[in-house]
Amino acid sequence: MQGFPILSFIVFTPLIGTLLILLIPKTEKQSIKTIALFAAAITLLLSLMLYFQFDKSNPKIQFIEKSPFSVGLGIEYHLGVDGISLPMILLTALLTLLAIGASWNLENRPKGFFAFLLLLETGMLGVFASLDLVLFYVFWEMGLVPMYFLISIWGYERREYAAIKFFIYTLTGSVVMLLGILALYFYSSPNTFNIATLTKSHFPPLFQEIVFIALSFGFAIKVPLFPFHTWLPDAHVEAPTAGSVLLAGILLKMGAYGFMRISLPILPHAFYKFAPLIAIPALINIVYGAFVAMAQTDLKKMVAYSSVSHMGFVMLGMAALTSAGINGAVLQMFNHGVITGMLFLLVGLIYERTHTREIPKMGGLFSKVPILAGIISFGAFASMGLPGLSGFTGEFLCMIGSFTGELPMYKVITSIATIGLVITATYFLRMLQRVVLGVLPSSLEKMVDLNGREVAYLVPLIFLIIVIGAYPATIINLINPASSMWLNIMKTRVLGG
Amino acid sequence: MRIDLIYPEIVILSLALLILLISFLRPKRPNYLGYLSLIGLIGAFLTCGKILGEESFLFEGMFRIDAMSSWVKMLFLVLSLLVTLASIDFYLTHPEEGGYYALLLFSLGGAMIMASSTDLITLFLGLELSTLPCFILVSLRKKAKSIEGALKYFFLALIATALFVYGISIFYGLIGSSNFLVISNALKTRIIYLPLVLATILVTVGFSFKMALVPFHFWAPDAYEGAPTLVAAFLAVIPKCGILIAMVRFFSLTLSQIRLDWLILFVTLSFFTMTFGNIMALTQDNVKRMLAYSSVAHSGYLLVGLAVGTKLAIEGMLLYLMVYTIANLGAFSVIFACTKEEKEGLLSDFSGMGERAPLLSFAMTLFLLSLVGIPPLAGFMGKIHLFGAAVEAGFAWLAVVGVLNSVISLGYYLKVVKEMYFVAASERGIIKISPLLAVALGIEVLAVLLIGIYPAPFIELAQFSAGILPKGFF
Repeated sequence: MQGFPILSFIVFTPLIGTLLILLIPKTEKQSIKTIALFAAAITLLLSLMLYFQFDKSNPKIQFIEKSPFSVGLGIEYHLGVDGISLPMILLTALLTLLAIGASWNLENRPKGFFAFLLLLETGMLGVFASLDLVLFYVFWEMGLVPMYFLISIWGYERREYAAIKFFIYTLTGSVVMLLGILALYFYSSPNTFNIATLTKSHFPPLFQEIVFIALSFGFAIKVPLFPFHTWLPDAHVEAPTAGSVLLAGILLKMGAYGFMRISLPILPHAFYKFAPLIAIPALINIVYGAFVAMAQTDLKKMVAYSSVSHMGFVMLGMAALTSAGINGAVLQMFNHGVITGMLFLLVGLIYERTHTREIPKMGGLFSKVPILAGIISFGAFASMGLPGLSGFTGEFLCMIGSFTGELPMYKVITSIATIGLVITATYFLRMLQRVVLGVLPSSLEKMVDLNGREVAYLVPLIFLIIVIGAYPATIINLINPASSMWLNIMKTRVLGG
Repeated sequence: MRIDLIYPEIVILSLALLILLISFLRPKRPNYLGYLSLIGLIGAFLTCGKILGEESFLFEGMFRIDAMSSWVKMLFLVLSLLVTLASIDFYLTHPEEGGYYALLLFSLGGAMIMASSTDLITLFLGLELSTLPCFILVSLRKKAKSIEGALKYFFLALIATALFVYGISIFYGLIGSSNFLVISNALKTRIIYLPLVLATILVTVGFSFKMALVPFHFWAPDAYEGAPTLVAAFLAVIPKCGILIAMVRFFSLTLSQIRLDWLILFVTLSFFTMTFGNIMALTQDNVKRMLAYSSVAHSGYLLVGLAVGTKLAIEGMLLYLMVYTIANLGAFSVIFACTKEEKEGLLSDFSGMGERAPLLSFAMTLFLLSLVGIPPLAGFMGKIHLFGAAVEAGFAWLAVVGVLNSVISLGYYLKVVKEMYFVAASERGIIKISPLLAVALGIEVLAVLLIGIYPAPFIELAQFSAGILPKGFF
């Protein structure tokens, strides 16, 4: 398969799907859905091919694709993957396919919905595959518009407010990030947007710090890192199920990925210096997010805040600057995508049946809908980090990584972070107690259990949660070479160089 | 003297006279003057393309043909072509058909002269020729609002003209010539500082009035709201850009010796224009008024290029000029298509457009998002180039103000998008548009996408025309 531009195909297959859907009259609902499903399935197949051809022992960037000419302004079409981006691409391809499966019965304007969903997928995949900063930015922003429409057309009651808040919040972050990117371009010699070339250049420390702050502004809003998290609960709660799945599953990861792909290799001094300043808001994310989640009576809001808490672990692991921490961060990104994606799918399924998300209005689901209730319990246990399931492996690695961090403060931070784990277990168990167990309210007498299609799109996630929980090396072997290499390069450049 | 170098101006101005003549002689309609004007514009475009790359002075150094002038004229001609295409069907039976096209062409001619002028007198001629027809065009609908807008525009423009001429007279008094070359040479040797600064300020104020920079913008919203939509579209792009090019010639090339003095002026103007324009646009519920304030804000972005002043920045400015004018024209054309000059263009007039006119709404969304600067649309490439140049030259704070302003602008552009897609239609019925208008919109949509996805040739064009900068006039 030498010379086959597989990455471009992965990134642009969904876009082709979007264009095909736009050509079909909107009354042909079935063919629209079929095209969307096919486009997403082909993307997933190609990503799996990429996974099997990927040389896991090689820490360098592979499958590089580069156009020989510049698009203008020094921008190049330049794609590639390494062990950090590959899991994200797999996750994106998988979750989008499942999100399409979950939206199969959508009746309200399916044409626009699936077109936007696929456009969003191209944007997300592009972010993880680009090696050119402007290309990265273009894909990064490409996700905004479809997500805005997904939330504001197909969302719940307060959708317009949530959509505009999401759009303005993230755009603010990303334009400041763009200025950081421009500064990198003009202060590198020769001027370049090429990420690989930029990692080799040595910028003066002060410059690194300024650019780091500008870039972090964009990344931190996306993660979201405390105190930039306020858009998240609104957007997640008001978005339609597919939108929430992709928001929590992928879009949040883009922020953390940005830190890893751009800030860490290009601005090592600044990253080293500011890492403790990331660890503290990360800790607040973990503990505060968990406490707020516990206070929610809305099931979806609870899951949304649990995302804030879980993303805190990603940032904490990364900020520790240890090999275990960074591996744990990427692993946790992947696991959180799978687990939270599943939880949002489940919340969507419950809402479809009960037309409520209020925890107090539910109860006794286990007696009425055992399969659904069983999977909810499974997802909750995975999310609270039960050993043997994937949620545990990521968080555990992040904690180990941060506990072994260089500065003594990391030991304190990690110890406090364990509170977050306890709280997480508390609110999930309370949720299970009130939703799955207890007495079935009379309003839910007619509830039906999952059908085959619904089970089908949950099974891959269940499978992944068990496999990674039992044998995390499947993913870690992918991540470790690349993350160790970048960490070593960074440490030698900052400390001994 | 090579007369062929001014063929484009000759074609446009004589076409304007011809159209006037025909509409006098044949008062019965339809006269198909739109098609005539279309042919003339294409002819002028071709002659302009032929002289692209030539460099020469005409009329004793009062008129300059170079890469920038030819390229900008071609842009103007394309934009006027798009306006004309959009107008033809509507104005075919309109009582003012002849006047409408003739005045548009006169104003275009004035802008073209401005783009070439290297003498304050030529510049003044061009400036007046491009603004005078606009007063009449604004009041074409003969409604109270239109008359009010036109009057406001007229009186404020008069003041601006007076100040401008006063500035010119001081330059003349100081240097003994109104020629750019002579002025720039004289500044190298002797500078009588205070009157020079006074003259510069007066000329700048004159320009600012006509370009509607804050705080000299008060006429713009009223004039745009009162004007027929396509006239507003024309007003927001052509005279404005002619002035901008004249400013590049006058400030960046002629007054380069006292750059530090006018720099502060432009940085301040640019800051207030973009910020104030955007904030005011947030509060509007008339889309034409909103776009008026938005185009005020965009003048502010363009001024960033002028203030930063490096070759890269002027390039960025020229690229931005291209992407802004096309998207803005597109947005106004969509308003025209939706309101058909019958409605006022209120936000509520657009409710449910997503259902009633899906393609128009899609085009509008693209134009507005391009104006915000969302990739991969043209506006993004313009903004990244323009603000990149600002970062490169050490004006990072101005770039920060600029990009944050783009975020503010998202707030009001999305209001239109929201109205189109999320508010139930107050009326029923699919909106039909004429095929020529559809062609114009199609070209604009394609341009917005193409410049965004593959900007290289357009950047080369901008580089080519900014190539006059380091050399100056020689």
